Amino acid sequence: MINRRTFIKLVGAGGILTLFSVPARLVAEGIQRPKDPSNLSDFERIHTPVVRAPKLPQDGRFVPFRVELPEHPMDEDHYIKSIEIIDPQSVVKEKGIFSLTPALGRATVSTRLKMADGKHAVRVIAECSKHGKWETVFHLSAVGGQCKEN
Amino acid sequence: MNQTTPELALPEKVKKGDTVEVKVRINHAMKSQEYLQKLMVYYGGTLVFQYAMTPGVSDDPRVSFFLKAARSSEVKAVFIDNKGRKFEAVKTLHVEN
Repeated sequence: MINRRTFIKLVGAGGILTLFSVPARLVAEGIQRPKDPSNLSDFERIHTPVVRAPKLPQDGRFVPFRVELPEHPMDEDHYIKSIEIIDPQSVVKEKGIFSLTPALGRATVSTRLKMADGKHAVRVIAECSKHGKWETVFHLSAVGGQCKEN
Repeated sequence: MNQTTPELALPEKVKKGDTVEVKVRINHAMKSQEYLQKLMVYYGGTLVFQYAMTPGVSDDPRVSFFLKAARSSEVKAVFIDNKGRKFEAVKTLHVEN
């Protein structure tokens, strides 16, 4: 529970933005997440990106990272347009954006990423041509890492 | 200088309508001073896939994606680095009806 004095301090320090930044950001960016990740509806299941990556990568210089939306159609009028990977815990947060087309037939991409030592909550955002942006957050803990300016 | 021609890996023969995995690799540094900015892949001359890259991607990038085999045609992968240099690889996807 936040008392009045703490609340005023938080507002003064800009902390209120931090307190409420995640849902506010998701709304501002128009990003959707499953209501209950352990019990997805059919609609949520086809739109939510699935990440295949090691939870404890042993070499943070080369972390294999695969993103799939295996059940989503890739039709001319309904397909996955893009997949974006963001790692807020890395110096280089933007890990790239894949732009897809219906010609691919399947929305699955893979790459290798640099991850600094420590815990990461990697955001993966897929954009459907009809139903907007959907986010998954993948947690991993890297060692031997590398993601710094050099 | 740490760079080379990209390699493009495709299945030998596929049937029309199959969805096949395409793998692209290149030996190139991914440092803030020198990095690949973009991978573009064309199938039969049409741009079908792009990857906007950053120095947050590992050195010597390995990228894969899927492609629906519609016809026998060239697949061309083009990397562009932050200095404007292009690195290309071309292979033919052989599709059986």
